Amino acid sequence: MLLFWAIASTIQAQSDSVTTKELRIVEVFGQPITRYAAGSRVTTLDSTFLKVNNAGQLSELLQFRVPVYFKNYGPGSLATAAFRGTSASQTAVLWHGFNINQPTLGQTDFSVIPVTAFSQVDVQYGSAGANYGTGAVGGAILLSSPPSWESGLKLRIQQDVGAFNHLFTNLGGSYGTGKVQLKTSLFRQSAQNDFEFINFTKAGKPREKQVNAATSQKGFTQDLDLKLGHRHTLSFRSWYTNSDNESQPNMTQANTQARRQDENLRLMAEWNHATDKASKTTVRLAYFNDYQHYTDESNNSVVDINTYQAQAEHTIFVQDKLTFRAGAEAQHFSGGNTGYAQAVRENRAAIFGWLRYNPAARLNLSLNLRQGFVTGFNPPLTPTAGFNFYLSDTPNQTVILKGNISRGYRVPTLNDRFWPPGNAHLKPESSWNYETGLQHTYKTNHIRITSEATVYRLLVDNYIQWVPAIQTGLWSPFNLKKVVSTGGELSSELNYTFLNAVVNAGFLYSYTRSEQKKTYLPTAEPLNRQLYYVPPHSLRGYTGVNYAQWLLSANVNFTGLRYTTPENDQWLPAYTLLNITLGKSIRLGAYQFELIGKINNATNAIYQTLEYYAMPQRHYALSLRFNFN
Amino acid sequence: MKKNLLLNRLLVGACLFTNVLFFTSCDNETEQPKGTYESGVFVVNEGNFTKGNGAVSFINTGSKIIETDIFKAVNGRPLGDNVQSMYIQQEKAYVVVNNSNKIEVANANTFTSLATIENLKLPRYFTVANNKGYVTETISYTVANGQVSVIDLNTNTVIKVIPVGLQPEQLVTLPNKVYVTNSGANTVSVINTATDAVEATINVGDAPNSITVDATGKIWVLCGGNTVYTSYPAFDETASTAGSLVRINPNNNMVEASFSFATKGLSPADLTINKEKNKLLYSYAGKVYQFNIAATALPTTALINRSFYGLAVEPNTDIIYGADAGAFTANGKAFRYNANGSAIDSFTTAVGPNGFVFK
Repeated sequence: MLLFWAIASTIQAQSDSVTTKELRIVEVFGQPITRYAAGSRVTTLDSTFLKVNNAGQLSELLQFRVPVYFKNYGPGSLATAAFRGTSASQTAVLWHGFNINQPTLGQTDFSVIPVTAFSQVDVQYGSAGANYGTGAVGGAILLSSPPSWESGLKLRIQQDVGAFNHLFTNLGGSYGTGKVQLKTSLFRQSAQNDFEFINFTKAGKPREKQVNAATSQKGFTQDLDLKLGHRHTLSFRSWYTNSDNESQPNMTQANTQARRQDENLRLMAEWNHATDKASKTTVRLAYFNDYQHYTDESNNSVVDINTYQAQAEHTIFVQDKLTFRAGAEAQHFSGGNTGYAQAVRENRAAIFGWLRYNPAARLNLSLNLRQGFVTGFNPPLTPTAGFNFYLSDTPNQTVILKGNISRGYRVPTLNDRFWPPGNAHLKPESSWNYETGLQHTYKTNHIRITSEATVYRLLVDNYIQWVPAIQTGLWSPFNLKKVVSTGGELSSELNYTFLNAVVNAGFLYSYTRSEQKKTYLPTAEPLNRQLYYVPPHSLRGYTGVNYAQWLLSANVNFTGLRYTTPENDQWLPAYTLLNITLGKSIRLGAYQFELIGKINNATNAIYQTLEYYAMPQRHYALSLRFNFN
Repeated sequence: MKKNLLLNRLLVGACLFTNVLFFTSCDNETEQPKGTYESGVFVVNEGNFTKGNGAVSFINTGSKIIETDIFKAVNGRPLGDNVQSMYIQQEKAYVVVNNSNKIEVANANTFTSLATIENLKLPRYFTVANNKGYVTETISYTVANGQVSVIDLNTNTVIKVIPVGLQPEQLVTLPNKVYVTNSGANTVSVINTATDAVEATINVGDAPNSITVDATGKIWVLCGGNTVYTSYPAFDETASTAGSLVRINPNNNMVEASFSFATKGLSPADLTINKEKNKLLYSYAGKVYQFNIAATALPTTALINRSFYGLAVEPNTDIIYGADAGAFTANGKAFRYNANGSAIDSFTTAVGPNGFVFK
């Protein structure tokens, strides 16, 4: 994949002036953090795909490109992501190096992550606690908007309309001088989501209109990047979203007027300092405020958490062969949840050291370590060791053998810790991920084919789950079980350039077997069965053609049957989703107009990702865009 | 096991099939069973909240075969979200589905769906008196009082709504009367079924959760008591109240006797009565106790050393049924005991079993 070309070229770049060359490389090839992930499977989402589909939620995009299982509580409703047979809480989501999982629940709701808020998405599979800290057990999703340092003014206006009264407006602009870059994006989205579905849980299987599923969101991102001399860069980033979403009841449930209002403010500053050859220092500060107000006929709860964070790291480059990074981070949470006995405060810290070493031209090694500190809940020492070995490395062809052993951990969430009654004996979850793979790249001037096969074994121990306490019946978190997930991923991507036409096509198949191997409480959950809502088979496929300012693309998501019970005696059937996009752009000097039409769920599939939560059948959307420069 | 079930199913199916084709009636032949579920034990399974996996299981006590989800098996659709209770009247089963705001009415012998009583508000328990249905409804957990809806059993519609106390729970019938426990308060509401109005409100202990009638016609109410947690497991000893077992004389609606439980912070629940209706059974502190209605103090020795989420006694055999919902993470279990507390056997139910209905 692209990453490995990045690695090869980055080694050179790093020893030069970091402020220019490396940032260029960052822009093209992905986050530098994945450089320390030798031997891991990493996917960088196609930026064109991101741009074309920017009106939706991140979950709607990722479900067509990575074998992550999203549980959707309806379109635009709560959506959570799970990797490699693990749970949604075992997925770390980072924005420019800061974990943005909700501190209370320890997971990210992808329905409140608008795609316009970032320009790059990298996905790393498997545990990577040393690199990404808590939560990186099944995988990590890394969001960023690296500066392009382009000069001049750019403007963008976009209006989308779609089925079920979906409206999306985006205004964006950037201005750059090469030393200063300012980037702003504002968006507003709303949808009634009153789609029709067959309610097969009612007598006579009536066709009903979905109720209480309207969504409304607005927000902005604002980035300012500055070059101070040729050794310093300074960046300020802000990201605000305000969502007011009704919570779709499932087909069996009464409508209790459930509604969730979320406000997420994320502010960060980053300072980079590079010496001419040998080192680089980065300091980041962040402040997050996560507010959530949930109401229904019986509940009224507020979560309001402030998170203050600081990260500092220092990187040393030794003779092009060795890169060493050491760093530390600290987090302070304060705030509360209506359900807690009192307002809470918690401090967390971690120290880490990452090593990237190329002992020979054909061998890259990485060795990473992290130790987290949480009062009373210290996570284990978390190492990662990985390698890439170039079995073949010619101008046309590379074959890389990869391998990686990594540990992951997950610290109990604020809810686990502070929701009464709680459990004072709770331990952090701990995981070990073993994987190996082969990556093959073939390229000529016109064609590039990248294929990768990975097999893994992922062991998660002290898996935290809420169950009723035996004496009192009060629900509390327990280190309930040990889960082992084994599987593999096979992918291939073709890029072909031919007479002004660009064709790309690819697929990704994954097999997942995830089972409970041990239980620490008598829960009656059987051992050695597939965990529920883990599809054993998943296939993603995509193809696109760009020719003469036309764009035609198709994306397919096949998801195999998923058991809905731990006994594996009931299941949701397999489904296939197909989205088709057709677009045309017209350029008049500095002005560009684009018109994009989309058919979502083109095969009219009736499907659910979470049992009884209706999803819309075939529907359409239209996007009109204007770009200046 | 499966083969027998299948055979049973085929026989019933064949019977229905012949009915349609030849207009013969299977019911006319006296040897023919009325349905697969003519005789046995129904297990009510709550399921997981919002997962729509509530179910009614059926134990064939003769063959000792349990079928996990009979409504779905017969009708091809799920029963609904959070199945709270079930009541059988004149060969009709009324299944109260709490978070679906409905009662599913099914043929009690075949479990074929007959009707759905809709637009209820968090319904809990159902009973029939004076040929009318009475269902307790929480409405929501923020309202000041719950209600009892009166149902026309011919049209399956609500004909009257009676305001009662907070979070009305179980109900029992006596001639022309329905007694309702208000579990969010400390009262029992008495509804006159001729006028369908509350004619008396009786003060009992805090959080009355279950109710039964004994052989002498006296009403027994089990109150859970009130536990005010400071920070778990610590609770406020003065603000909390202990559970109590209360006897009501229905002739004058007066509390005749009240037995207070020794320890605060533990809620007794699931009051039920034996075959002779002279011994009460209930769950307390993770065990099952038996109380003779003539006794003058609560028992200190348990009958069964196990914690249950639901408890009932089979009225013909005196066999005790205990529902073990476990951690709600997987299917639960139903345990059977002889009247003396000795274990008989167990069955795997659906998720979250909370009660039994005998037929």
